[in-house]
Amino acid sequence: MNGTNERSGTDALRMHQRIAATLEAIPYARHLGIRLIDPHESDEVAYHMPFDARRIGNPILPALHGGVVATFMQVVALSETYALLRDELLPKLVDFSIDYLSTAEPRDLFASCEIHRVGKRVAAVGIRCWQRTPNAPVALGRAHVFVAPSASDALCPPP
Amino acid sequence: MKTASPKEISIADLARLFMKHMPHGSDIGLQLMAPAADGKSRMRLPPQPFLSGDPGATFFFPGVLFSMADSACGMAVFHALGRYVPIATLDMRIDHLAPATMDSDLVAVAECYRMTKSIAFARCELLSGPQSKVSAIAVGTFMLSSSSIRISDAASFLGGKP
Repeated sequence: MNGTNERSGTDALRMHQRIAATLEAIPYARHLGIRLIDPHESDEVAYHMPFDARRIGNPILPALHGGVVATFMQVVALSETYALLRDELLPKLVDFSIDYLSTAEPRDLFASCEIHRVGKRVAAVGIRCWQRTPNAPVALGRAHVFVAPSASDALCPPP
Repeated sequence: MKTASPKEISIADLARLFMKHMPHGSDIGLQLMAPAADGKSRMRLPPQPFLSGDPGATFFFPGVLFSMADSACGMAVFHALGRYVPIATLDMRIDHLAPATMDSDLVAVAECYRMTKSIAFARCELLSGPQSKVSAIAVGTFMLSSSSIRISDAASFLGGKP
């Protein structure tokens, strides 16, 4: 029993490290300050993007830019898919779809994702993004992530 | 209260003002292009290393294309309306046909292809590389706000004349 817990603890730590390495390797994710929430702070893998006034898309409301919310969710989907893969290949986004449920206020964003299926070539991923509470998401997304080798790998070494 | 006539500021002027005062647009370097004869809205984004998705800065991160598509589609809806109505993106989908290389500016070409009383439908092509190949296609729906903020009020909020 104890041994199983230790092993899952090690797996979780390894997963955490791989995700952190991916976030570090994506320049635009670094620019946005996207980070993994410390596993001691949360039971689940969750992500955080701190508020910055440069992320505002509508200065009249004000509200975060929809593209920033979408980018955050894409980073989450790609990083978590990468962390699951045994191959050292950067996963690529095939498509991404988002529903905006409410205005993203000028404050921090949080997200978590669920990998619905990992096939030989494509993974189906769902992403939830919230501000005040996970029960009131500001946006929901889904993505198909290409996980097999592709022509662009030669140009784009993994982290 | 200021009672400026809506004729004082055109929708094109407001679009320029909006772009000028959009912090996210300034942050990534998004530029509004001059209106073309086809009536489509165009934006340009020069490559910068921090916009990339890989350590070698070979490709734009996909989210950068999404930001452009969202902004360009919103602009296309404004132009189709011909007057200022606050809009909100309801949903948007993007298909990545090929990675967007960072060897030239990204260009977004958007149009609003259907307008109802409360919903606008828009689509956008994102062109990349020296040959301007289609790198991604985005489709989105926008809610038109029922509130009536006048174009002059919106413009004065954004800092007056362009």
